[in-house]
Amino acid sequence: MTAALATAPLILDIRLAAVEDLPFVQKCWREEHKLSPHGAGMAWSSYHRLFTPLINEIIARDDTQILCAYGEHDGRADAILGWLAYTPGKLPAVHFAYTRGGKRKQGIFTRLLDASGIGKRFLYTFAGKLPSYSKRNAPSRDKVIVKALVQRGVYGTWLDANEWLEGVR
Amino acid sequence: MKPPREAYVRATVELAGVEVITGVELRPDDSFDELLSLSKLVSLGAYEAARADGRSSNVTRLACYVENALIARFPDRAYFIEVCGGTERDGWVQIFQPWEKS
Repeated sequence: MTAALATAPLILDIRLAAVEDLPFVQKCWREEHKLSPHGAGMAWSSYHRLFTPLINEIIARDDTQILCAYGEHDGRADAILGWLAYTPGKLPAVHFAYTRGGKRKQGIFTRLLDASGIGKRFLYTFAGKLPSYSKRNAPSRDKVIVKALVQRGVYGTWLDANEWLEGVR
Repeated sequence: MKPPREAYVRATVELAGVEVITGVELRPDDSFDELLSLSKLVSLGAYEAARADGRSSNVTRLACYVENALIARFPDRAYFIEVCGGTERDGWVQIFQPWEKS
């Protein structure tokens, strides 16, 4: 019975983030991206100076959409289990995605990506977290996800957030 | 007499073990960053088309798909394409069209 429950698909309510969700989104974004190849090993003060304004600019843009997957977690029925920040349009971009620990590998990111309608080709502007120290030579999470998406006929490629912003400003 | 000066926006895309590099002629009024983004999206589209036709693992054919996509998106521009299907520094396919077709 327990095993059956564990493999049952998650019940998710996918909708745009509410304003009160944005601090959580910003916090996850910074903390996860700090562990990427571009932030790992960097002092937090330097990281904040370099990346916090960039993340805030993207969150504040009118064309940025933040889609959240709400579901049951820790006794709350409407906890954020994952989110996806993206910009549809001529230069479609996925900026960052997050799935709560313990809810990974259950298809939340895929469902968010499908719900976003961003299409089969997109740029992504922030690298993902590196694996743990014992696997430092393994690729960061973004590369693993992009490789897996190819098998589904979805194609993403990295473009630095500053360069993407220059193209859409 | 010197050949004309050339400037390109170089965009690299890595997909499923294949590396595609495109260079598209940069003109004075262009936005470098927009051209970079568009070039990457063109490469993704070409890879998608080649994969749908079962030809994405053949680097020579893939380079032709990318070339056709670049010509369609950026007509009358100089370009170059480099495609590598391995992790080694050899085995590249290169296509150069350095001067504008007239």
